[in-house]
Amino acid sequence: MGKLFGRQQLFLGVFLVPGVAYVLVWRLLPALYTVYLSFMSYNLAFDPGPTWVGIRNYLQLVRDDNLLASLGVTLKFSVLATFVELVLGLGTAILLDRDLPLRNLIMGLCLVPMVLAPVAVATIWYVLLHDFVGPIPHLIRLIHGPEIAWFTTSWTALLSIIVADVWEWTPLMTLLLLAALQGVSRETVEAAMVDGASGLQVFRFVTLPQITGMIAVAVGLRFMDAFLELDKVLIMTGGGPGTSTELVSVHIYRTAFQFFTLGYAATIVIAFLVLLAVIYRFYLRALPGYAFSASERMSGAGG
Amino acid sequence: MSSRQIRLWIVGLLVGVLMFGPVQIWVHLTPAKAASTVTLNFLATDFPEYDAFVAAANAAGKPMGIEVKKTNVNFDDVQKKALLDFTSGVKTWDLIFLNSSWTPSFAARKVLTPIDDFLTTPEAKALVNPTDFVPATKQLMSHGKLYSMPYLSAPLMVAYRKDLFDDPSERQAFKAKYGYELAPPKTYKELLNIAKFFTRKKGETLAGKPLDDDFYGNVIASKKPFVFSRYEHMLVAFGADLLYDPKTMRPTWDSPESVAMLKYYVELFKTMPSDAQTMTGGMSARFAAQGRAATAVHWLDLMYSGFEDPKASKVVGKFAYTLLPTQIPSRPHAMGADANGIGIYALSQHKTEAFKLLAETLSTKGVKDFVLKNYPEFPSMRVSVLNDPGVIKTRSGLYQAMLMVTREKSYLFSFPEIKEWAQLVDIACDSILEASTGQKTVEQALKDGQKRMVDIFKRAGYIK
Repeated sequence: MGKLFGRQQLFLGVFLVPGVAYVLVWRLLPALYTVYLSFMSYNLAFDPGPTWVGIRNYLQLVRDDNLLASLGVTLKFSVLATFVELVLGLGTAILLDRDLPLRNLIMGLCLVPMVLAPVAVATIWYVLLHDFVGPIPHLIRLIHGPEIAWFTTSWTALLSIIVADVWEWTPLMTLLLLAALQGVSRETVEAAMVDGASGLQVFRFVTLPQITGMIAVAVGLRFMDAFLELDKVLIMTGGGPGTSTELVSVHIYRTAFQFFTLGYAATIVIAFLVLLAVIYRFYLRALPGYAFSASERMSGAGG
Repeated sequence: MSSRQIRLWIVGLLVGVLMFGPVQIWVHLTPAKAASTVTLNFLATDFPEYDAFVAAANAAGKPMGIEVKKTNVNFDDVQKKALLDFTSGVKTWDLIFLNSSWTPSFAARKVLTPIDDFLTTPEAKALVNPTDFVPATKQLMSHGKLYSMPYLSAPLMVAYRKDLFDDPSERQAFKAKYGYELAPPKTYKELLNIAKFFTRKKGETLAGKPLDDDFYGNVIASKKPFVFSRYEHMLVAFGADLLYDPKTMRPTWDSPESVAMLKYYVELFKTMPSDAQTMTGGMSARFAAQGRAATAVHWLDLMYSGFEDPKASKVVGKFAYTLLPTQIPSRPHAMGADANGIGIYALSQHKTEAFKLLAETLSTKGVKDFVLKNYPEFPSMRVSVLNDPGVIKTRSGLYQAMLMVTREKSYLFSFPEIKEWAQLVDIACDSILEASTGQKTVEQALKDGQKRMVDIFKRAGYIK
């Protein structure tokens, strides 16, 4: 074999095997199985196996009012959470980009929420905002603030999930943007200041253009991740009141594991995968200065 | 041997030690177990009744060389896990906790081996003694076969604060307001009146004492999907179908009876704590156990164990229980027959041992000993145990309440066996919560729900 392919090729092949196996077995096969299931009717609780139904599940998608409603809730949640995380993350990153006393300690503390299990984050915020045992409603009552039943009305329930999400994921935004800020050339900043630019002008015209790429990546990552949010909703609101906090991920979870209709759940997964891919492609194309592919980068296109 | 070969040997040895070393260490550290002991893995949930079963089973299994190891998952995850593991061919489990609502799916997928399959000898039949089970056992059966050993069946009941009901000032005020004596509710109208009467704000008085916190007339777990497992009893009591008419196979979620019921629930919901819709059964019981509610609707055994636990309850000895009220006379105290059993996993490697242990532990004698010696509040499914003079002599509050169920004439109903049931329940929960929280009117919530149910029935081919 060594003679046939040459020693180097053999080594290359051996080292590639784990990676290729991982991509095939853990990435590609489940994805292909999901595509296969999307054309099947399969109730895990009652059917002995999947049966072919063609595009029936896809036709059902367009008539599923609840799915459309959950898409609306998901978009609301994703946009708001990502926006707040970006603003807070950028602010914190700018703050930590300076020589603060105890900077490393502060940074370490800021990262704690991100390393907690999502279930723990959800439980913490469920207790914090709980009407009867929660310290936050208690403090609001102490200062004679308004009585807020966090999980009872549509908008406060959604807000409570956004608050928990912002608490958990702002540190990631901070970390990414801090890395980008530290890559900003100090010379250009100093030169701009020597030329009389104000702090705001330096940020707007010197710093921001240099971190736009990272902002795009961070926002993209968080936006897509927000589509996958499940634990917080299940623990904090259960998708309620009514269906007002039922995100697409919760809808899929319930379709698959509460109703056990695996075929239709797979169809929703595929549809949203395509939707997200399309959104992300347009998003990247719309970014100034972002080269979409290697060839575009080579030819300078895309910007 | 070249230096390169030596390096390869060293690397190989290191890999070997890293791979097999921990296994060897673990083998040496694991305490020696009798070679003949068979361990049965039990997939269950974290209910005290099932911990008690494990203790009793291990005591009974010791002479047989059988032990039980319990793995807890959330109540509603047991069904999911059992179905997924069975589909994937996982052979880990021997015993599975079964709630009656899962019987149709477990039977359809053959996740459990029917108990009937083991009743091949007169000894086995005598030990299991199927004639001694309470009527709710039929909920653990499908197509005439028993899919689990009946374990416990507690009725859904109304708990009320006896101390408040006996308070002269409260009695007087109630009579002045409603024109009749304050007493355990016999009708749903009376339950609502009681709940409204006792709903008070912080600072108002209750039984002559000022309240430190808001006090609520009623508490019912209203988190999705738990809300429906209470609501369905009331729905039937109001004369409605359980979501569809089995004769025409048409959803009846927007029927006049259903509208009347949801209107009633919306009113009752106003007497509950504001976050009742996020409460599970356990949370609602704990809330009432903190002395914050005058009435509660929940499973008898869970209320009793929660309210009478001196470590967790502020109202020990203050709650009494009564049957679910009546709305229409033809359906007195309507209640669904809910039951829980322990089944034998179809892929178990130790089915014979599992049956032997179940039959022995849950035999009439086994259950009687269990109640008298270990668990006096156990809601047994053995008729002879419920009527046993020794058991009755314990005169526990729980048994008195359970006897009330057997003495009074109640309208018992069964749950449907269609595979779209979980979807229908989900839609029903949405409608209930949308109306209760004021997102939609009762009529609109039911109309929207009805439309979704009709879609499901059309897709399933039940209707055109």
